[in-house]
Amino acid sequence: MKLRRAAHLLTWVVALMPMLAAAASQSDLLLPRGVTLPKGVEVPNDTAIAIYMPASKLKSRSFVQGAGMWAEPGKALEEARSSVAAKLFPKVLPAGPGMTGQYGLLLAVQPDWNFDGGNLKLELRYRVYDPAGQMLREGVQLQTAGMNSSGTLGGFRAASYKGMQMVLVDILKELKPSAAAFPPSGSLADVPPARLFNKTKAVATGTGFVINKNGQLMTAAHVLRDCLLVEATREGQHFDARQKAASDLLDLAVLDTGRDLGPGLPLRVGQTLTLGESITNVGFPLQDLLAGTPNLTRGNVSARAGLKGSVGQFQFSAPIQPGSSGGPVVSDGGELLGVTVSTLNVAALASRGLVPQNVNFALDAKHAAAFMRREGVEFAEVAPRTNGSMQMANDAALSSVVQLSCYQ
Amino acid sequence: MKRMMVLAVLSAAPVFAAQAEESVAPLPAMNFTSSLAADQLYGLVKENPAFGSLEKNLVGSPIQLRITHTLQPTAGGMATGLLSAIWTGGTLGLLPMVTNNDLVLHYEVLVNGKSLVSYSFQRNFTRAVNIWKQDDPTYGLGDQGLAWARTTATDFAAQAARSAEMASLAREYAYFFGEAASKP
Repeated sequence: MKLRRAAHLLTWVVALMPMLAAAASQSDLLLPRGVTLPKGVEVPNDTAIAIYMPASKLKSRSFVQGAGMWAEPGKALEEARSSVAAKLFPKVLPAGPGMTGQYGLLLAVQPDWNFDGGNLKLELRYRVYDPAGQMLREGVQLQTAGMNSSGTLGGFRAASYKGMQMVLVDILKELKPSAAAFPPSGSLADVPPARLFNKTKAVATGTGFVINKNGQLMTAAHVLRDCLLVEATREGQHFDARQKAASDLLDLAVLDTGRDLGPGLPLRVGQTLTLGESITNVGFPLQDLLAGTPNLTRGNVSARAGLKGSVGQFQFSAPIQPGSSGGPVVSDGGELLGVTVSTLNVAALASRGLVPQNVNFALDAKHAAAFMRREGVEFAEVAPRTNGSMQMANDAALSSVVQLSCYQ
Repeated sequence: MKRMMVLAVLSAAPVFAAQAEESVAPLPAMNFTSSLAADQLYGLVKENPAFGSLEKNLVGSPIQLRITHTLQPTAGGMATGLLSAIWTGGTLGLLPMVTNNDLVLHYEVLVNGKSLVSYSFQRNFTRAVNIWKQDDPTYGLGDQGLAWARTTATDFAAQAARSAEMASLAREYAYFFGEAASKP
């Protein structure tokens, strides 16, 4: 009889073992090795969590010709945000411009990739908010992975997946979330952009200039790409600017500021251009290195056309640097001749034994005028000023430029 | 040594970006680059009248057609490939190496670096590759693989020529750089 009972008990134990093992291993499989959660914190967790990452980081990718493969750090981050996060938080949803849905927790993540001796280093700075906008937690996660760990160029995935896991584990440990504690009462459509981006560091900086008395600015369109906030800085004053119109084809954009910023740069009637004429270029380059004062360089119109196949551009010799994009090219008469848009890729040419000097390109003001007419943007035209001077050019350029910072 | 390459098509899954169809019109001049079979794909895309202004080395063009290819290993293919690599190595290359990958051809039109439209074509191939073979005119794809790659160029051109985004780009190009734009 005892033997029969024992056999019966054993049968139950054997039957239950897979279920017990499955129950025990579910959280083990979801969590990184060695990580345990406080008592009462469940995974998968039923909290609706919205995760924001900057668009430029999510789109980041480059083709590695030798390997015949794409290096896709952006895709790895997107997968970490969606599928990896969904294992711990099945009700995860993306946050950002145009996104809708209800959330209980909002996680804003700022990823930053660095390369060090064949290793990838991923830094994830993050902040967690409740629907009322109160910041509940902030932190930094650092992950390192070999470039080719988990397959060719697999390091991006390895670092992104582990990093996101650790960020979410930190939230689980410290906030002990649940749908009851953080009900999905927040609407993504109502999240102010300032809650999402990192105001301490601009994703990109560029240059703009006042184009009319209505406080509108002109710049290169690529300066504003995917920005949540564009901040203009002029003589120490900061103010927001909103994109009014843009053309990727021209690489040109106009912004509204709603401020009185002076008369703006006029265009020369007919937008004529004289080969060899002197010009002034002003911009705010290399803002990681240089002080935030405008950089003024002098040169001349060195060619009526740009690179082979380019359209609507002319070449000028005044030196420019990263951050000069969107700056004005101004004649000695104080007229806008063009908008700085690009330069030669010196590194690529240097690898072929060529060292170009002062080969820079601006969009011809003729096309800027056509763009403004199409978009209904006011601008002034003046008769060609033949009695101009370097001082007149410099004063006109300096009085019109603003620094632009793009936040995501 | 005679090339030994066997190619079997296991699946085909062209993936197209959402698009609305419009009438075919000549598209603006654009720069062409390709990571694979550049000469052949260039010629095939250019055969479409809409892409008559496609050019190589238009490095300054604001519009670029970029073709890239990737070989994505499949789970079964990795196991097969490892075993096959051991056999191939053990016979000093007398036996061909068998691989199984998803070949993906990605066509993307960029305007000043910003993606306007993109089209991906994907097919799974099992191949037997002779590791001593050099200067393969099929770029390692085999005859059937290259033939399939060529069909993607024609398909891309036909689809892109009718896309609403490309039509809008052509209109904007004509507005700013067409003959009418140069009149006072």
